[in-house]
Amino acid sequence: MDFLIIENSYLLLTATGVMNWFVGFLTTFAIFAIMALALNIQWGFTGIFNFGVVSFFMVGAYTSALFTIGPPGEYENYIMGFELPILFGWFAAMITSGIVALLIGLPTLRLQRDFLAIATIGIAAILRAVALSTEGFVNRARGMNGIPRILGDVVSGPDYKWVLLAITLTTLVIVYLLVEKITASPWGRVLRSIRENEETTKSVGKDTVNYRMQAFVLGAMIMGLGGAIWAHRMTSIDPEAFNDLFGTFLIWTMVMVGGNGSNKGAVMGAFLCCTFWFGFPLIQESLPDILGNKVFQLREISIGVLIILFLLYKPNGVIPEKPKISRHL
Amino acid sequence: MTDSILNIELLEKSFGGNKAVDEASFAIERGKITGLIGPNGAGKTTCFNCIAGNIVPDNGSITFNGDDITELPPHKIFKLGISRTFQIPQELTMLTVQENLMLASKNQLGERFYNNWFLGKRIGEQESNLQSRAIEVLSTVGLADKALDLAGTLSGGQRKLLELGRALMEEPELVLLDEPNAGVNPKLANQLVAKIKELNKTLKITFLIIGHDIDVVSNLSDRLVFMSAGKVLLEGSPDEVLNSSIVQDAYLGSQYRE
Repeated sequence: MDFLIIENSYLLLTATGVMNWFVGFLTTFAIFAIMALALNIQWGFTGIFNFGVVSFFMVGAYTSALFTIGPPGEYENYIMGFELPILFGWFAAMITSGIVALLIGLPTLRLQRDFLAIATIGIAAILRAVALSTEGFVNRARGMNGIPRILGDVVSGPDYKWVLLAITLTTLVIVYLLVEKITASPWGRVLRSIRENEETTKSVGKDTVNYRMQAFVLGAMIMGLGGAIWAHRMTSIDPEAFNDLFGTFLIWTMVMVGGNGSNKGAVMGAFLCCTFWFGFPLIQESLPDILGNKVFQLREISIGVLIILFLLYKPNGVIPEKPKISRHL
Repeated sequence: MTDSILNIELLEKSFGGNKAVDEASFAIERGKITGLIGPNGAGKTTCFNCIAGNIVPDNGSITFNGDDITELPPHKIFKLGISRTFQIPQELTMLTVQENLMLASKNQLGERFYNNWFLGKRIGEQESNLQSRAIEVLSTVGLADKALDLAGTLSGGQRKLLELGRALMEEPELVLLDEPNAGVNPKLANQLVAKIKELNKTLKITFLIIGHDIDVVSNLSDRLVFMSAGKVLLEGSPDEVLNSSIVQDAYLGSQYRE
C-alpha cells in the first residue's frame, strides 16, 4: 500500500518527480473516491453498517485479474486466465461483486446494525483466508502478477501514467453522475428514510429488507469496479494487501470526513483523506529520526485522532447532506 | 348484523413473562370511529402493533375486510389500506416535512430502481402531484408553512401532527391513531378532532383511536373498547362504557361518577 511513497519519495527532489508523484496520487484518489461513493450509498444513504468494504474491493480486483490475465505459468496456480479484454474484466468484477453481496446480504441484512458490522468484518477475514490458503484458486500468497494494464499495449513508457489518470478520472466522473442521479430520486428517498427510521418506513408500505439489499448490491458492484481498476493499475495483487485498515476503514474515514449522505462529500472526503494518508509520509525527512522511523505508525495514530476530532466537532462532515436532494422537486 | 372492517379474535402477545395482550377480542365497525381506552399497560399499543404488523402476535387472528392479516409484514398491511401513527413520533429527521409525507404514498414509479433510468419525465410529474397532495395534507394538520423544514427541527407537538399527516396521505380505509392529541396545544387539538370527524364523514375513513383524554375520545368516538391488563373488559357506546362500574373503578376513578 505504501508503494506510492516508497517508490517515489526520493524522486520528489526533482520537478519530474513531483509531477509523477502527483499524477500517481490523483489516480489513487480517483479509485478511492469511487469506493467512497459506493460506501456512501450503503452507509451514507441507507445506514447499512458494511465493515467489509475490502471484501468487494478484493473480489472485484481478483475477478478482473482472473478474466484478463494469461494462463498460469510453471510456478503459478490459479483458475481461469482467459486473457479477455479489460472492459470485460471490469464488467465481470461488478457482476461477481454484486452476486457475492447478494449471498452475503441474504443471511445478514436482516441483522441489526451492530451485528451486521461484525458479520461483514468476519466475512472479509474469511475471503482473505480463502484466497491465502486455497491451493489452485488465486495463487495464494504469491498473488496475481502481470495483470495487464488498461490500454497497456497502446501506450507505454512515461506517458502511460497520463492515460491511466484520464481513464480513472473519467470513470469517477461517470460513477459520480450516475450515483447522483439515482440517489436524488424517490428510490433514494426510500433509502434515506430507512436510514432515519426503518420501522416507520415499513409502516408506510416499503419492503425495507428488499431496499437494503438493492443498496447493498449496488454499492458492492461499484466497489468491485473500484477493485478492478485498482488491480489493473497495480498489475500485481496479493491477499495481504487487502487489509481492513486500507480497504475498509480508510474508506469509512473518507465518508465520515466528507459527509454521510452527500456524494460531493464522499469525493471531497476521499481527496482529503488521500492527501493526508499519502502525503503524511513525505514529512519523514523533516522529522527527527526517532519519529521519522515510525512515520507509518504515526500516520495511523494521527488519522485515528482526526476521526475522533471530526466526530466531535464536525459530525456531518465537510460537505454535509443537503435538506433538498430530490431532483424532481 | 353490523359490518365490521377489522376483527380481532383471541389475540395474545407476551413479552417475556408479561402478557401484554391476553385473549383480546373486538371488532371495529366500518365507517365508525372507535376509541380504545384503558389504563397504562393495558395492552392498547401492543394491539396496535399487532394490527399494523410491527409485531407478530403469539396467538389469535386479525382479519381485515375478511382477509387474514395476522402474519403479514407492515408494508403489506399498509398497502391493504391500514395506516398508523406511533405513540412516540417516529419522524424521519433528515428528510423535509414534505418528503416525510411524500414517502407515504403507494405505487410510486420512482421507487423502483430501474424506472429512474427510463421514466424520468413521468416520475417528475408523479412527484409534483405528490408534492401538491403533501402540501394539501400538511395544511389540514396545520404544518403547511413547515413543508420545507427538516422534520428533525419540529417541536414535539408538531411531530405528532406530522405523524397524523403521514397516516392521512394515502386516504386509507382504516387509520390507527395512537394518542393523536398528546402534546398538542388545545386549540390545535380541537381542530384535529374536527378534522378526524370530517374525514370520517366525508371520506368514510374508519378510525381506531387510542387516547387518555377521556373527554376528547368519548366525544369523538361512536364506540369505545375498554382494555385492562391485556383483556377487553367492555365494549359499547361511550355512555355505556363510561358509566359502567368496571371502567370507573379500574380506570376513571370514582370522582368521574358525578
